[in-house]
Amino acid sequence: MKRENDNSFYYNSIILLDKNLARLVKLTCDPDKPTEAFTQSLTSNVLGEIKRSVEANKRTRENILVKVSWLDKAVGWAAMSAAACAAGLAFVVAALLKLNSCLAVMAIMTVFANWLNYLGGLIL
Amino acid sequence: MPEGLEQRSWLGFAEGDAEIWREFISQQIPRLYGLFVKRWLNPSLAEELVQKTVFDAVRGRGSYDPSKGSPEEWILGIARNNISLEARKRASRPSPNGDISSYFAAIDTRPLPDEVLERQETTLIVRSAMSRLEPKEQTALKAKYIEGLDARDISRQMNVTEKAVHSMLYRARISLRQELKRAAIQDVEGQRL
Repeated sequence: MKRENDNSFYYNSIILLDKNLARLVKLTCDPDKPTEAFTQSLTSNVLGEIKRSVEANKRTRENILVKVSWLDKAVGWAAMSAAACAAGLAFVVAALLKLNSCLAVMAIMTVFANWLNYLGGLIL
Repeated sequence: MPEGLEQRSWLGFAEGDAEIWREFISQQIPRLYGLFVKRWLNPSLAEELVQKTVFDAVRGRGSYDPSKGSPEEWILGIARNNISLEARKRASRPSPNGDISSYFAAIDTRPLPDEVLERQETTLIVRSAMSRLEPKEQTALKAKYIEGLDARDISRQMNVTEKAVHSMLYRARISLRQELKRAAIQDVEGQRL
């Protein structure tokens, strides 16, 4: 344990010395303008940050577009057609089998409830 | 204001057009650096503040409003705000007192306060200590700390092996630490006489 602490103290002191010397040695350079190394490194970091944020924005926009334009539209139209067909079918079957109109209304209500359930899922 | 930027769309600036930003920051970095160094004669602190200001501007570019002024005025406002923050930070901490040799004696156990770095005698002590090192050691230290080169680049520049650079830098650091302590003590003794 003691050796670990000694090692950590040794490395910390090396790092601290290095940082302090870096700050001191910089005092000997021309104070009127930044060093070329600093300017280049900062410029490249800034352009990297801009590139990353622009790409992230672009990706977010594309994801939103895909959700709205494709998947939702296709599923929405399919569900709507299925609901309309089912409602029509319920009336036809009820008429053919000469069922009670209450049964036909129940069938339509079931289809309508399923449709609402689907819409609710989309909203949530 | 850079003429090119004035002609172009502000939208490109707000949206992060790489060419507009490259041109803009290449002109702003020396300007901001000069502003900070004029306030506190401390190159390391000036670099930190320039970096903070430029990144603040990049991250807040969407909030730039051309009707309120040019991008130069806008980034200058951010820089002034960072100066105020730094001044407030300094006001809230105790100012370092005691002679300069005590700070150099503890150079590997605690960070040197900015206020000590900004004293005129510190620059003189560092120059004196550096001049006592071997020319190769001076070159290696300047290449590492001022030019920001790594051991491989320094070895190419000095035409030696990478291993030789590592040991040269190690020796140079130890020598500089000793020379700084000695020069600081001499400075304090000189002031007492």
